[in-house]
Amino acid sequence: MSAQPILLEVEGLAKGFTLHAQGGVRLAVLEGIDLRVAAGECLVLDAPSGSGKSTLLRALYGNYRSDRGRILIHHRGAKVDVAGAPPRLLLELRRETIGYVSQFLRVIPRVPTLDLVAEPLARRGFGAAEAYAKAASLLEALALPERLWPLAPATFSGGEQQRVNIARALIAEHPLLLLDEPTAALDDENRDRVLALLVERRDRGTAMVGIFHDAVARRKLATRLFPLPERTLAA
Amino acid sequence: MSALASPGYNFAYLDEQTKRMIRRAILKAVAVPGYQVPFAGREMPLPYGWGTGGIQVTASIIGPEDRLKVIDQGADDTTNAVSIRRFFAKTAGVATTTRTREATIIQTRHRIPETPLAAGQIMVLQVPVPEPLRWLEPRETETRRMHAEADYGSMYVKLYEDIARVGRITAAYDYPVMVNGRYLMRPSPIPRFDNPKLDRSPALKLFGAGREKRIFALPPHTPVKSLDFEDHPFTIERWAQRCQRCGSGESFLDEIVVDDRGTRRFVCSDTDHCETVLERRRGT
Amino acid sequence: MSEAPLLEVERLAKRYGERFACREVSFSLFPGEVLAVVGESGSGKTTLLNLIGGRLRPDAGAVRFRAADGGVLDLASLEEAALRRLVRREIGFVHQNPRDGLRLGVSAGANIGEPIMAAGARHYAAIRRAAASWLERVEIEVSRLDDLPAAFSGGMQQRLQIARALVTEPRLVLMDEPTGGLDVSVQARLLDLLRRLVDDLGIAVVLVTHDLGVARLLAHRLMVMQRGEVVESGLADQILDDPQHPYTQLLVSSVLAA
Repeated sequence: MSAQPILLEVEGLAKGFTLHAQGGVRLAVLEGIDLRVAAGECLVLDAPSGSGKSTLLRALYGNYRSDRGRILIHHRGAKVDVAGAPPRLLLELRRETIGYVSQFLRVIPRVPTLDLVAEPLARRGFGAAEAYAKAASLLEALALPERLWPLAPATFSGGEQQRVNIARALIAEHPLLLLDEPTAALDDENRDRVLALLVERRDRGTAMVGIFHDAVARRKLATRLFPLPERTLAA
Repeated sequence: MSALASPGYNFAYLDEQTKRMIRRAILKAVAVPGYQVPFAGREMPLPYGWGTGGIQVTASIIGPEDRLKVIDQGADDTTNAVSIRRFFAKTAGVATTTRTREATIIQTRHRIPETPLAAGQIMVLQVPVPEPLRWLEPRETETRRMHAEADYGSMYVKLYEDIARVGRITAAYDYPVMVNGRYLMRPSPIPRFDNPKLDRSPALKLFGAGREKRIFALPPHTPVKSLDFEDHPFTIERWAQRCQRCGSGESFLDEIVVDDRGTRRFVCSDTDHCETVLERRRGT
Repeated sequence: MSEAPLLEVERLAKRYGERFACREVSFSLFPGEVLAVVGESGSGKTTLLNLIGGRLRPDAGAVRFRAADGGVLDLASLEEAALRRLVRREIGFVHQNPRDGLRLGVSAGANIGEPIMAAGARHYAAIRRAAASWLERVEIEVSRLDDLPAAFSGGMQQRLQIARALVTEPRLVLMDEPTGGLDVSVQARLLDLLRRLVDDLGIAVVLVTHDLGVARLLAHRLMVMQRGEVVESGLADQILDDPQHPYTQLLVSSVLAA
């Protein structure tokens, strides 16, 4: 069997924060991180709270700016370094290649759920009918009641909002998915539905990097654990 | 040619340098049809609003061999027409006439004669407000820029508003026109009825605004198109009646109340035209 | 999506005597991107917008715009009349105060219809239809087509201004604090509308605002200006979640949490 293509390569990644408002104190969070993820792998970041797991995910997504190192993503047949990518390229990467499921739904107010979920496909040029159809089938798979679809998620429960979040992140079928505690706010039943979806994606070739505290999620999804060193505060 | 009735005035009242200055402005105006050329208007012996612009233009081009016709609202015998004709008789001693066909220069306020003008004739029109965009834009700097850049969308806005509010374009006179496909122009307060007469007329048409100190021109054979919309095309006035004096059914009619009971008479506004048709009828 | 940028600003500067209102500003903008320029009063963001929109002439630098015919023109060196013609046809401008971008004396329909009449539209019914459809698009009742702007609320006037700015489908739209001065709920509705329109029409936008919430909601990219210079730029979420420059950190931390 031929080896699966490497979709993500991180080399010597370092990330810290300088708090200018507090006398310029520097927090070094990540240092010398190397990792590789292939298609069909789910890499679970294994480290205690506060070790920088979220920071790493955000750096991979280009949401946090790395200080040093490279983040190479397989995109449109070539390797692109997120760390130095210009805004236009990063936007393209996010549209086509890297998906991100955050812990909390960043609520874009007043937009109906179905529209929210369909939006990433509309951005990729899909027609409205097709985008809505896919959105509907995803929401069904996540057992979000149809009566909620025309409503904006602001008044939903945490679990309902999170399922909208997940649907929105999964709809574009990115080859690489970053997951930050996607099932934390869900009850067991819904958690299992989400995991089933994610496992299916993984088996179809999606590469994943995730943070899961939930043991069940780890067991079902993880193909490999990646330990992070404990964070040290720099002087 | 009659002798000068009043010595002590230069020929046609204005000094020769002024006439030259105005003729230069006229030449410029003729070179750019529809474009408003500023000129240094002089004090005239009558107030603004009474045709000082038109008079200055006529004074600058008239010569001893000319034959002048002056009309106001189409008639040779209204007060203003009579006064202006007398003015030129006094200061230039030129021959005057009421016959459109015999005139070399026709000064007019508010009408264009029914008789089509010929090559070699000059019509001088009196203009109160030369700027077609003034209703919308009070700043001279802005209107000049709009003309320079042919930025005329706002004129169509006015026509749009008319149709939206009343169902048709309401301008009854001084109806805006596009000259030579380039400049937006006000044809002076002539009725819509007269606009088509301007289009490619073989005569030279000069426009003088005394208070605003602008001269503009339509050289012979210049295309002049009244603004309209494709689905609301330009139309002229029509009457159900005919002239009760000469029977003409094609001229612009004035409605005159003749007694206390409100009896109305419709007669040609153009007195010379009415006279001509009548003579033809009588076979004279 | 084509690869060539719609707008390329290079080392743009504007000076008033010894003081630089804005200097060394460079960026590229592609179709469909919303770039928010944030900063406090006096930061130079409005000057920058006016330089891009041809309302001010720069003292240095270039503003290269890819026109509809494909040709690239440097607005900074274009002759006055040509510049105004280009801007009128291809660049939309939304003012903070809607009354600066509307003709208050003519109806809503005439306001929206004017740009297309200026571009040569000559069929009354078609113009009226286009105006009505845009009115609907900005969520104003079509029955108000013949009303004067004075009869509209502030939020409606702003939506009317937006319709007038977008009716000729410019590929680049400049907005100066489009939600400033409006009530909070009215602002929210307007932001939703702008978001939808930008998405639907694929226009590129340069949006000047001092409100980071507006920037987060509408913008893909952000540029932070302080005293005439760009101190930080990048993706909107990047700058707001991981501010690097001391001034940016100050700005971000100053936003009251919802």
